[in-house]
Amino acid sequence: MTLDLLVFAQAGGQEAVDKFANATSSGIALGAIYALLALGLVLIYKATQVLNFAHGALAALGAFFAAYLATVINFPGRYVTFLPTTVQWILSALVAVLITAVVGLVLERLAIRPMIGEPLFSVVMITIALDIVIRTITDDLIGTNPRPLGDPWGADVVNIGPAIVAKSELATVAVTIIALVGIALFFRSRYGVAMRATAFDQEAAMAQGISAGRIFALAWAIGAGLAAAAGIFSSLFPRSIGVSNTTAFFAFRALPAIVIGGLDSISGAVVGGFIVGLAESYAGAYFIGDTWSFLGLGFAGVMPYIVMLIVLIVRPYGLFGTEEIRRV
Amino acid sequence: MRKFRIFALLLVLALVAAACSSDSDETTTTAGAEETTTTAAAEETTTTAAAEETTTTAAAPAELKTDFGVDVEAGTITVGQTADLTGPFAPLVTPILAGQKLYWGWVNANGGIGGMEVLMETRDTAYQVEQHIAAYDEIRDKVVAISHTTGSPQTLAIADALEEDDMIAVPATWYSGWTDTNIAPTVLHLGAPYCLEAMSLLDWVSEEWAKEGNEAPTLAVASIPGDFGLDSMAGALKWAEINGVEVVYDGSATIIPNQDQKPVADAIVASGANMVYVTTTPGTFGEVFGAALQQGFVGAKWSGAGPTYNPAFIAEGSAIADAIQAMWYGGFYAQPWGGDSAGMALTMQLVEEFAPDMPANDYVGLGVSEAMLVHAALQAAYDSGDMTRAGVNAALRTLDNVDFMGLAPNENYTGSTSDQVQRAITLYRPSVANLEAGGSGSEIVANDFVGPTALGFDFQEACYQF
Amino acid sequence: MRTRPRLYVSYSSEMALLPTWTQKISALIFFALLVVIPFGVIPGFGFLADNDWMKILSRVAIFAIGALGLHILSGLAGQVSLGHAFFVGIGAYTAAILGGEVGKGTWGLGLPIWIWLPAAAIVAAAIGAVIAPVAVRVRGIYLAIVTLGLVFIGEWMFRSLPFITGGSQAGRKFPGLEFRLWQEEVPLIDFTSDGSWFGVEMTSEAKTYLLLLVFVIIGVVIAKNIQRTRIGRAFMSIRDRDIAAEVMGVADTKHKVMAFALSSALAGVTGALMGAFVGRLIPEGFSLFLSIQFVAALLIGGIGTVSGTLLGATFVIVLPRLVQDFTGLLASTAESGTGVLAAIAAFFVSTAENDPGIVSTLPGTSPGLNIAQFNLLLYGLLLIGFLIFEPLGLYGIWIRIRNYWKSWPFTY
Repeated sequence: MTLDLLVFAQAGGQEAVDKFANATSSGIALGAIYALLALGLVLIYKATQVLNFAHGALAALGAFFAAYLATVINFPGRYVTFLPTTVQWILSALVAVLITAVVGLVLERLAIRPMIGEPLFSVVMITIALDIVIRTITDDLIGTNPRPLGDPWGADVVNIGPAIVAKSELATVAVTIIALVGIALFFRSRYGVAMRATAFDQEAAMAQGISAGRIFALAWAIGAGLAAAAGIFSSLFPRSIGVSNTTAFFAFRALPAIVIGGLDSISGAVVGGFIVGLAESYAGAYFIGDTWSFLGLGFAGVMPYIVMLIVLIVRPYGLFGTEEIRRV
Repeated sequence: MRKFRIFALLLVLALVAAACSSDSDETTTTAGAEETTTTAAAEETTTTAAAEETTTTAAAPAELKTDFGVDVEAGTITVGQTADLTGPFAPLVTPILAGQKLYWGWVNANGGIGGMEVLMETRDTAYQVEQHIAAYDEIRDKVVAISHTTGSPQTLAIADALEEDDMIAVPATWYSGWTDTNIAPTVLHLGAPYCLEAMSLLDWVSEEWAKEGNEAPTLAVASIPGDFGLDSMAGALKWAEINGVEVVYDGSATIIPNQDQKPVADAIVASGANMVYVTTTPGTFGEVFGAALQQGFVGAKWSGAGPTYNPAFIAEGSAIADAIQAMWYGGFYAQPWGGDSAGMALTMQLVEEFAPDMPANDYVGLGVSEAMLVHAALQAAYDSGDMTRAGVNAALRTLDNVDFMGLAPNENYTGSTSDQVQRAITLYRPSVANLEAGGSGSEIVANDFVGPTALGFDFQEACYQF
Repeated sequence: MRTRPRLYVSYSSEMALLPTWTQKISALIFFALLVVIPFGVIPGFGFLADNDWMKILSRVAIFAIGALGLHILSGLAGQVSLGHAFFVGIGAYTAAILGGEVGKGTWGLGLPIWIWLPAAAIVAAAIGAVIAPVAVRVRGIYLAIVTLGLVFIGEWMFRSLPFITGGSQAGRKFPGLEFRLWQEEVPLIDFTSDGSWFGVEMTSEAKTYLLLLVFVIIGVVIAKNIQRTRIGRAFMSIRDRDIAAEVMGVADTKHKVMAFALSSALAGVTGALMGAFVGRLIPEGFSLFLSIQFVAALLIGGIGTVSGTLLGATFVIVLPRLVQDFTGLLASTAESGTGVLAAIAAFFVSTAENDPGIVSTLPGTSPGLNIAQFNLLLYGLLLIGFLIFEPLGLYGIWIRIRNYWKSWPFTY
C-alpha cells in the first residue's frame, strides 16, 4: 500500500511528494504515541491477562502531573536551576511518569489483585470502573481550562527533506524508540525473565519461586508509566493545546494497534501503533475532496478499525500474536 | 482474603479522600444566602436586571398565583438547571453555574424576589440527550423556570416538554433557532446567535484586514457537525455571499472530535485563505491551528464562534500563545471578565467576596447574565401577581428591553423574530499581558458591536434547521 | 411432594419454565406487584408511581430488553460483545425511517408501530447475522475489541447518514408510542397522553410503563425459552467448551451467528423503544458508554441468568439516581442538619471556608469535586467494590441467601 502511494506521489510532482512526506511524518509521529499506549496495554495484558480500559485515564493523569510539575511548581527544576530548561522539563516529565507508575502499582494492589481467578470480564469491568474514578479525579485536578505542558520545544519545527516536522514530534518518536529498547532490555533482566515466565505459565513460574503478585504489580507500574509518557506526548504541539478532559479518549484510538500487532506481542504493539498512525494519516490526507465524499464524515478515524478487521480476517491473533492452543 | 478486600476498599476510599481534600484547605467563602452583610456593590447598584420594573417589595400584590416551584409560605422560589457538569462542556458550564450561584446569592441577600429566597436545583446531564431528559423529568415539578440548559440537541429534546409545561428555559447555546418562536416557543434567546455572530465578527476582521492596506480577502471555513458548527457556518457563508468574498475552502462539519485534525488544517493551508473562520471545540481548534502553524501558515486572521476560544491557548507554557495573540480575533456573547460595565463590577465584587479563589473566567459573567434574565422574568411575573409557569412566560413576553447592567446587550422578547434577534457581540483580542495581570486574557476591543452585514441581514428564521 | 431447588423428579419438570410451585407463585406475585406499581398501592413504595419514577422504571424496562439480548449472546453463548450499542442504534434508526415523520432533510414513512417495532428487530438481526461470521473468527478479548470497533464504525456511519440520523450533534425525531392501524389521525391507543383505560384514570407515564412491561415479559419468555431448547443448549455447550461442542456435532459458527442475530434483534427493539420513549436522539448516543452499561448490567446482575440480567439492568439504571439522592441528602445535611449524621456529612462536604471535604457546594471552580463529579466517583467506586466483593453479581447474593435457608435451621 505504501509503495503504491509512493508511486502515486511521484507521479504527481513536487507538490504530491510534499503531501506524501508530510502525511508520512505526521503518521509516524501519531503512530509513536499509539505505540507508547499500545506498549503499556500489551505489557499489562501479557503479564496479567487484563485489558486495561483505564489506560486513557492514567495517560491523562500522567499528563496532568507533568503539567503541574513543569508549569505550576517547577519541580524538580527549581532545585536544579543550573541545568538547561530542556533538561529541567524532561526531569519534570520523568517525575510525572514515576508518580503515575506508583499510581498504577497502587491500583493493581487494591483493585486488580483481589480479582485474580475471577472471570475475565469482571476484571475488565473493574478497569472500566477505575477509568470512571481516575477520570473524574483527573478532570477535577485539571480544572476549568486545558493545561499546557510548557514543553521546551514549543511550536518549533525542523525540515526533514520535504517534510515539516515539529520538534516535539521528533521527541515523541525518540521516546518511543527508547521505551521499546528499554522494554526489550528489561525482558532480558532478572525480573523481565520472571515476567515472561509468569506470562507463559503462571503456576510453573510460581513453582520456580517467582512471586506472581510482584510481577503483576511491576507490569502495572511499567504500563502506567508508559501510559503517562503517551499522555504527555499526546498533549503537546501540534496534537493538542494541553491536557484536558478529552486527553483520556486518546487511548481508545490505540486499541486497534494492539489487536493488529497481537495482544501479547511487544514488537507487535509498536508495529501496530505505527500501522494505525500511518493508516489514519494517509486516509486523512488522501480520502478527501469530492471524489471521496461518499466516505462520509471522519472516515480517517475508522480507518484503523478497518485495517484491524482486515488483519483479523487473515490472522485472527494479530500479526505477531501467539495463537492460543485450544484444548478440549 | 476477605478481610484484605475490605481493607483494600477502605484504603481506596481513604486515598481518594486524601487526594481530593488535599487542596481544599485554601480559603474559600460561601455565597450563602444567610450572609446578611450587604456588599458595597449592593448599595451602589440600584438597578437590577429588571430595571424597568419596580423592584420594591411594597408593591407586592395581595394574592399571588403560583403552581410549581414557588412556595409562598416557605418563602422560596426554585429555579432549575439541567447542566453538563461531568461531560465535555463541564469546563464551560461549571463557571456559568458559579456565576448564577453568586448572582442568586446576591439577589437573596437583597430581599430576594418579593421577600422570597431563590434556590437552585441543579442536575447533571453529562451532555447526553437521554440523561438530559431524565434530569428535566426529575426537576420539572419542582421548579418555576430553567435558568440553564446545556446543549442544543439536548435542549431541543426537552423542548416539547418545556412547551407543555409552559416553562421558560435559558439555553447555554446560541443557536439562531431559539429566537424563532416556531421552533421552541419557551426556550429563550440570550446573546447573538452563532449565525449573526459570524457576520459581525467577519465584518470586524475584514475591516482590520482592509486597514492593513490589503486587497480583497479570501475566506476559509471549517466546523464540527451539529447546530453549533453549521449555524455558525451558515452565517459565515452568508456573509461571504453578501460581501462578495471568495470562499476558498468550505470545511463545514469536517472537524470530528477525537480524531486527527491534520487533514482539515492541510486543506486550510492549501487554500491559502487570508481569513479563517473555525467553529469547533477548543481542543480540536488547538489541533487544527497547531497543524496549520506547523506548516508555516501565518499571516491569516483567525476567528470563530465564542466557545471555540479558550484562554489556555495563551496560557503559560502554551506552544501557540504567540501565534494566537497575533492571529485570533474573538467575539463573545457577554462581556468578558474584567469588563467595564456595572454588571461586571457587581460580578467582580461578588467573586471577590464569596469566591476569591475562582480563576478568571469569561463564562462567570455569562452565568450572571442568564440568572439576570430569569430574575427579570420572575420579578415581572411577581409584579403581575401571577407566578405560575405560564404567568412567568407571559410576563417575560412583555419585556422589550431587559437590561443586564451592561454585562450583555439588552434583549427584547416582544414582537417579530426579526425584532427580537440579538445582533450585538463583544469584540476582544487575546492578550498575554491581560492574562498575566490576573485577567482572563481577553482584552475588550468593543462592546455591543454590530457589523454592517449583521445589521442589514433580514433575519426571519433559523439559519440552520434541525 | 414438597419441591426444592435443583431437585427434579421428571425430565419435564427440569425443562419447565418455572420448575417449582414456589417459583411459580413468587413469579406471579412479583408480576402482580410490577403491574400495580403505577397505582401506588404498594406500601412504602408509593413513590414509584410518581411520574418521575415511572419514567425511570420505563427506562429500566427498555434497557432490560437489550440486556436480555446481550444475555443470550454473552451469558448463554459466551461471546462477550462491546458492540451492543451499534445494534441498538440500528434498531433505533430502522424505527425512525419507517415510523418517523419527514423532517428537514430526514426521511420518514410514518408507518404504525406494528410495522416499525418488528422491523427494528428484523433489520438489527439481519445485520447481526451478516457481521457475525467475521466476528466469530476471533475470541475473548480480541472479540471484545472487534465488537468495540463496530461501535466506532457505527458512529461514523450514523454521522455520515444525516438523512437518516439527522446528523452528528443534531439528531432527529423518532416515532411516538402510539398504536395505529394505519396512518389515521387519531391513534387507536395512545400511550403518550393522560386518559382513562377501562375506566381507570392513568397518566401517560403509567401507560408507557405498562406497555414496556409487556415487552419486557415477552423478552423474558423468549430468553427463558431459548435456554431450554436445543439451540439454547447448543449455545451453552459452545460457551463451556467450544471444541467439545463441535466434536459432539454442535455447529459452532452456525450457532454463534444465531446468537448474534437473536441478541441483535432484542437490541434493535431496545433501540426502537428508546427512540420512541425519548423522542429525540443524537447519533453520539449509541456510543461505547452504552455498550459498557449493558455489559455492566450482565456482570453486576450475575452473568448467565435471566433474573440476574433483570436485576443488573435495574441496578445500572437506578443506581446513578440513588447515588445522586444520597449526595443531595449528604449536602443538605451538612449544610443545615444537626446530630451525628451532620457530623459525618460534614466530613465529606465542604460548605464554608477552610472546611476540608471531598465535595464542595461552593460556587463552581473552588477546590473539591462538584456534586455531579462526586456522584460519578461514587458510582465508579461502588462498581469496583461490588465486583471485588461479589464477583458473581446480585444473583450470587441471592444464591447464598437461598442456600442459607435451604438447610435452615442447620446452617453451617
